[in-house]
Amino acid sequence: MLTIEHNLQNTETQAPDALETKPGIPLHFASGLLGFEQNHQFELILDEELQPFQWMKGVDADQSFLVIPPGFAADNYSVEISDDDVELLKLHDSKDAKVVCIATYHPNETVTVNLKGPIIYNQHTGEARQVVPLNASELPLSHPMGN
Amino acid sequence: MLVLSRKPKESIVINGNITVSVLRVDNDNVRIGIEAPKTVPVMRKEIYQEISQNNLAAAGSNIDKLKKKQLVNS
Repeated sequence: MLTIEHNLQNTETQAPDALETKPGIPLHFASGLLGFEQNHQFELILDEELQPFQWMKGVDADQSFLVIPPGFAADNYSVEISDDDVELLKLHDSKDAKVVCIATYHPNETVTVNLKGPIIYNQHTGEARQVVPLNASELPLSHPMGN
Repeated sequence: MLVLSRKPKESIVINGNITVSVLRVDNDNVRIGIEAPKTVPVMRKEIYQEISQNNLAAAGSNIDKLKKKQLVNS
């Protein structure tokens, strides 16, 4: 089991370094996303107009998702992921892992963030997976994003 | 739907690489063991349904509208 924490103090999106700030990080989902099992290739795009959100654009399908590093949505977000997920993503350390959560922009212009099924990816390989964390029962599916 | 009867400690093999075993039956509670390749996501159906439905709703997010809203707010 590996615990991955995410809060704004250690978020990398504020530092102009490495992969995170470059547009178009390729992500490969071996198992797809839940409900979208046939879609494997996405690209994580940083768009200034969307900050702090990012755009996870489908490469092998038209499906695209609004995502956000969870530190912008909730304080002290922490997920425990299973050894199988750690092994699949080849995470040697929690520093190898990046977390983004899928956001829904509702027709009434509110935004909710899915903290229950986060996307974890290995920042060195781009291997990604939507995981159900071991502590999923404590995490909300539709966390309201404050304005 | 394929329906098979199994007793405790008996199993079902799916596709040669997934084994579903009945571990214990206790009144209306059945304890099931699943052995599957790590690449095969296995979870309770309720969780699968809520997350996949959330993903489906999220895929319809209109970012052009959100961009305009962000610009107005900033």
